[in-house]
Amino acid sequence: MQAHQPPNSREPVLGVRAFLRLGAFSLDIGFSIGARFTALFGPSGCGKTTTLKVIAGLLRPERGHIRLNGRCLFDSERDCDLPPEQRGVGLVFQDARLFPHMTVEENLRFAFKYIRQGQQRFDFDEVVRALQLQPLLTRKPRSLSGGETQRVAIGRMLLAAPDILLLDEPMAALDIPTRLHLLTELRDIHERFRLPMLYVSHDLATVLNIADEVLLMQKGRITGQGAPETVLADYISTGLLATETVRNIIHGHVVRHDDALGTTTIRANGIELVLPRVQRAPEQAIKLELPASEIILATVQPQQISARNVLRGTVRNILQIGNRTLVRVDAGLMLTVEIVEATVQALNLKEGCDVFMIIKATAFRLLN
Amino acid sequence: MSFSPEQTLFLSLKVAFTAMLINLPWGLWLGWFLARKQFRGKMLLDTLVNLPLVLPPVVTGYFLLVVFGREGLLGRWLYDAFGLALSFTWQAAALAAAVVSFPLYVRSVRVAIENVDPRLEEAARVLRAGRWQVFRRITLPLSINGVIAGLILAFARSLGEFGATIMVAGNIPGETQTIPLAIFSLVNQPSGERSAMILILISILFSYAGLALSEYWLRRWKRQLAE
Repeated sequence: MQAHQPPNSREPVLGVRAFLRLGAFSLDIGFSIGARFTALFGPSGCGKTTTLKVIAGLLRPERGHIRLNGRCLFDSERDCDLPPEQRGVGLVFQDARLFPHMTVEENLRFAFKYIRQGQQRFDFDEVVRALQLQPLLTRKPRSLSGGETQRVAIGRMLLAAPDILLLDEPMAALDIPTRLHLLTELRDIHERFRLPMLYVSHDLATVLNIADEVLLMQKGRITGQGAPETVLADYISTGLLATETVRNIIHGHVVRHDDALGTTTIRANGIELVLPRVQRAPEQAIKLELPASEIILATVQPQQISARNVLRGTVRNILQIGNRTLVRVDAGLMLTVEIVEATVQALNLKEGCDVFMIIKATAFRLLN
Repeated sequence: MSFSPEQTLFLSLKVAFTAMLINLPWGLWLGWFLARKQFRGKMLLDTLVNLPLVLPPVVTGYFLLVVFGREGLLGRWLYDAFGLALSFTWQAAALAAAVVSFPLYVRSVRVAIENVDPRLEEAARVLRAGRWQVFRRITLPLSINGVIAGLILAFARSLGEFGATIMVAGNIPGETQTIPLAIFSLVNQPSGERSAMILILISILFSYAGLALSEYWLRRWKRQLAE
């Protein structure tokens, strides 16, 4: 199979069946995923990291088989157990693990010696550009910030030309704006390089915002797989969800400033939004965060209201999360709105019904 | 044969360098093995490696003679097969120095490698590097300062080796008489004390320099660890 022509995104790329005991913990997993952006979601200690290590060949299962693009990586029934360096499985660790005795550039080029001609998937300059690594190249890892460190780790792994990229909560230690920024970059890389990704996270907001598909993991087992909304709704009904702030991330560009009113208008997915004046030239890209709880829903068009943004949209789905409710509304721009259960009944909200989203100009937070 | 301090010094350096070369590769391997592998009998192997550290060197020398002497287990075979007679040659002195200084070197290698974060080695594997490449590009560069400190310490120990050397190599001036053996002989001669003094001073100088250099590389290693 040609590396540059990945199969249909729903065809299985990675198939895993593995059983492993580690002290009192036992891992017993079976799943297959396509060439998509898959999130492996579950509480801390449920075996997510162990799963990635098993796939990468750093931990050996007692029984099972692992297959990547039809290639056998491991099979306890047959004589098949490829060492990590021959698996073509990329793994970005939570703690980055940059080599301290090498510069950033040396770290990035580490794998070059082991990649055969034609096996290379990504061009050095392309990766450096995509992850904005140029200014870091001559520096040593210890002088980098957390976000920079993870960008280098991701770039280094990409340059090893993996057939699939596993990411072990690489953003866990980062502050929220940096994390969101990097996640967006990751998503861009996934689409641009058509590289299947399996992203481990215990952060609900991350999973909802980024994944095409979710694998739900609990106590060493895979307990669900499917679209994020569906799987997480099931998960949430088990009551295990931590209190998470669900955030919308909005990408747009500046349209105009209104100095008299002290506002800036931006456009995202064809929708105009008004926020307090930002120092940004027209046409410049802008990225905003909008907490789901800051959006108000109405079934009739509000009039004479102080909020500057009223968006008309359609309810796509309604997720019950314990005593919380998330409504996904498509207004040309998909937004998640958090309301209380009582509101659903009071407004008689259903999938497919038209609603108005009311957003105060001050509810947005600038990310870039 | 008349005594020559230059010749004694040169012979001592030759013996110590040869001992270092003998130990270099497999001490590195054994240190790595002890640092990274868990296996049954690890403590036994560890004790065996460290034995020459506490065993009277004369006893070590005796065992070497039993093994490598003309009538020894390996010695007889070496002589029959290759015509090699090891005992009472400078090579035997080098062998004795190698065995006695080996634990110091292995110990340093082991500690240095134990302090290399194995997670970095894992990361390198995932980045397509094989075991040997990981050792060459990650483990060794991150432990090299500790390894050098150990090599220097072992070298200094080799220069001072006496007991095992006299057992297996004898005390032949110009051939196997290293500095400590020469000092021993000179002090026992009526007029040798002046000559012995030169060698004693050289010994002190070398020992001091050895320790200082070893300490220097140890500090470099600790600085590297802190990064």
